[in-house]
Amino acid sequence: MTNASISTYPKQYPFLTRQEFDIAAKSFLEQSKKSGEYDGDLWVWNEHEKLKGFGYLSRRLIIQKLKNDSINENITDIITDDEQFEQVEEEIEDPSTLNITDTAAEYFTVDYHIIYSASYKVPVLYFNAYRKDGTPLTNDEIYSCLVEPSRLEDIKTAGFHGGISQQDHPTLLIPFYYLHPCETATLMKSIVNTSQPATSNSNNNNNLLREISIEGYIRSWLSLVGNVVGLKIGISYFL
Amino acid sequence: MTAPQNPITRAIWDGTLPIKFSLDSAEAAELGAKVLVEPYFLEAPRCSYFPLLTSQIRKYFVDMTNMALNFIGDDAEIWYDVDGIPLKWHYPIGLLYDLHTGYRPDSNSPPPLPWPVTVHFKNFPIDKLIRAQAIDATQDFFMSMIKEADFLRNGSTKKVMNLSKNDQTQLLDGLWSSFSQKYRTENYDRFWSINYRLVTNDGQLPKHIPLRIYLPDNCPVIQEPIAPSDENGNQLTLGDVLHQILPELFPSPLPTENAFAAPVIHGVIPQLNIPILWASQNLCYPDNFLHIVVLLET
Repeated sequence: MTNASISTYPKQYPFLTRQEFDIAAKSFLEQSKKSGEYDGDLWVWNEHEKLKGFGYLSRRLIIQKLKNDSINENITDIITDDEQFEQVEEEIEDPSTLNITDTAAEYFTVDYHIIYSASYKVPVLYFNAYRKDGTPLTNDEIYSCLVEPSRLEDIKTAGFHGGISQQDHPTLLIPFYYLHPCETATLMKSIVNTSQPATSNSNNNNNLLREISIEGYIRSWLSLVGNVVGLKIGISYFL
Repeated sequence: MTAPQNPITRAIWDGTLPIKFSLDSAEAAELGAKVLVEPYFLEAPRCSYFPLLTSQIRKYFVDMTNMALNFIGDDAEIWYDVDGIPLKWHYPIGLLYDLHTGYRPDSNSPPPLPWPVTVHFKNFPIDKLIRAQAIDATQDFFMSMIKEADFLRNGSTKKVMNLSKNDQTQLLDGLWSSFSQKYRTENYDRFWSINYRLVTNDGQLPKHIPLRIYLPDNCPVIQEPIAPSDENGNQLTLGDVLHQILPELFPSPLPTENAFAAPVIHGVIPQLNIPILWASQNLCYPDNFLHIVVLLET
């Protein structure tokens, strides 16, 4: 069965209305299911129990952070329960299996939420990270354990106190870390060549996309911002 | 440059609330029966923030208990609650009062004053409150609200980001120092001579009004893009906006006989027929937002 949906475009790209975000989120859910990526927790849509218009996407991942700085999240598709978790940990602790001198690996549970910002009219990535014993990571620990090392300098120097701070989750009203959205619109604009109309005949030699549809918005956005904090989008989302 | 002589913004700046701070009973009990900890009374500016009061409160309780409290931690570990609910330190004090007491000024009973607030020196609830209450964090939050207000008005944060270092410092100084009564006028001038340009948007009509609506019972904060006028160029009133955003609570933009919901800002119920643009320029908090609490009839 082919995907015969008609693509619609944001009325004021790169900005989304609340309704457009809701549509984008539902499409993203479909794409994530079809991607067949992980057996673990998939993306889920959540609503506020009383008020409409505060829905958001959430996903829980287990991230492995190696002390020698590389982030390896392939571990997520083999960790499905505590037993396997401990087994993998034991294996990793044996230096001969990894061939690296400092192999102490740490695991974190990270809750990623994609929420809609009514002020900036773009999606925003919210997240909280916990150690294996359940204690939450502090702001400094987020930088040292979760942020992609190659982006560390950029993120730390952005804005007033870096590009990551805490804020009340707009629906849950509890503290979450988030990536500042002030640059999102500029970022989403920069990957699109808006001088070309979005027609179906593409004789476009340009490397830039012609336009991003509402349905494709979140996967494109996430592929740009997610890897800063350990969230990667596979090519399967785009097929 | 002196601040514009606006009696309304001045009255809002000067608005205060008497607060009675009591040490958490469990923490007081730990100090033993010998130490009787009297509460601390403070006249707090509605437009200020709890972290800006903390050092004074801490000094009182540490001195009061003759160091029995033995508090050697960071001021950032001190937190406040009302009826067991931790107070969000990044909300202005006046907003917290209106929201937590749910007091309607049109009711027959007097307002619950002084406001009883419990002080804690331990067990900061990291699952409920954002960390780092220290003054730096308060200023960061404040500036990010100002940026957001700018973005709502103009679609960019250029105006705020282009404020000179001097102007930014003046803005923050005015806010931080707002507590001290002696310098209240000086600080009002300091703050508002810069803020005036932001709030009136240098005479340009804003794209959207920076406003937030708070409902009781821990509801999500409502923030929708509201333009100051409709398609025909007619100015929207406060009633129009409330009717648009909360049609079930405000079935009409005009005041009705048996309206059971009322907007409260700075402890006052404003008239529904005031233009929202005027409200935004005259009734906003120092962070440039109109924080409106919607209270239902009890």
